[in-house]
Amino acid sequence: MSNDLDGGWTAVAATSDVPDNDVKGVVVQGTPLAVFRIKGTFFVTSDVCTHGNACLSDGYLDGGTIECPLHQGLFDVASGKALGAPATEALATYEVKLKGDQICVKLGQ
Amino acid sequence: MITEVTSSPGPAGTWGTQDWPLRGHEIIPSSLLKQLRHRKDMPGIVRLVVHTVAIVGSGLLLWDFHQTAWVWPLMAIFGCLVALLFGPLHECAHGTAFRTRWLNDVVGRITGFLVYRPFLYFRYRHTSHHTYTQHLKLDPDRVNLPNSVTQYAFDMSARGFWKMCWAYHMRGVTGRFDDAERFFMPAGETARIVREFRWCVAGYIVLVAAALALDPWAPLVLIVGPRILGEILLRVLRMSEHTATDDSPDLLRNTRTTLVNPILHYFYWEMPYHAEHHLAPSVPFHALAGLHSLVSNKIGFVAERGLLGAHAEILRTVRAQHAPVSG
Repeated sequence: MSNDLDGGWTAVAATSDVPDNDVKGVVVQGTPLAVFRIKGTFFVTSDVCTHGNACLSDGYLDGGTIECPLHQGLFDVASGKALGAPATEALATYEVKLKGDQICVKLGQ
Repeated sequence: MITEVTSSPGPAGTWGTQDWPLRGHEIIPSSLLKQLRHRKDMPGIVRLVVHTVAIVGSGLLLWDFHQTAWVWPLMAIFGCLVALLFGPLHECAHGTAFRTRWLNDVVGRITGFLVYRPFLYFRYRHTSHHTYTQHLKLDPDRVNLPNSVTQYAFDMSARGFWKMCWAYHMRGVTGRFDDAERFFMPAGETARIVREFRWCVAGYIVLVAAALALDPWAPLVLIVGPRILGEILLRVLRMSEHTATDDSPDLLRNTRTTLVNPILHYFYWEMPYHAEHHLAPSVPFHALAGLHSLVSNKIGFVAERGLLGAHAEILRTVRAQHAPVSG
């Protein structure tokens, strides 16, 4: 989905699309994004592992970390920081704002 | 040349790269995957304790009987149990042996040391094996189809492994890694990997010195002999995993599952469910049997007659591919 809103914010998913403590993969304006809901808080990161080209939204979410399904590289969802080998490069993260029931991010930041 | 490989992503829905877009994993519904990859500590702890007790017990028996004819079977049992520590090493490298992260790191480092595969080096090397499974040039752990029955016997003896093992330790302690290794190791990790190699080699020197202090025969009886015998079993197992499957990025066709006896399944930490493991590397060992029951009918290579069946298939392929052309 892709909905351009005011101020450069883009709607990427509805809050109801992402159950709590889960992750959903979306492609917005050609950019693969992983939308997380962890203990009620939404986070958006790039959906592509910086190490091995696999979708993190297919990965294993454990607390605040996401593990790549292919090589088990580990990332902190909130900061994007690489926490475990073989991942060494941080994940792109996006500022998130809720507008009604829409989860919005600023792409290109 | 490895440097000419592009690491850009493959088509949507595939894993890995444009050069080798892995497919097949999509047959497992994500809802099922979420259940199966749930991590636990206890199954790994129990198996590790049993494996350790078996190693220590057989080691003590071996030493007690080393001046009798029992030395050979006991050396083989002890050596196989030590070599099968490749199972927990592998599981820890994936971070799936235990839910607690540091346990995977600690056990991975210890088992990596014991089977002569330093953990961090193995971990990066193994990621490349998963990205490029069965790629002719880029899979660092590819076991090529032997070109003759003689070559097959040579491969089974593990002589090739020992040569490779010596070579990567030499490169590791000096930091002079080859092109293939630099391809799978991030540049920023080289110093850590070299440091780990040096600690391991120092550990081996201490281990041999301690064995010598115990008895002049101890290094031969407790280290050299068992490791040579055990590595043969590991070669037999490792060859069954991919050799004589397809040279393709199709995960349903490039890996073989071998249904071995329950004891071997146990001490090899369920690695014989190898096709299932490649389809879903994030699924821990204790859930692989469950995954097997759900997807086995879609896997191209399942050796239901165990290692004998797998190796009969390998030998048939060797003979078929290298049979003299008549007429």
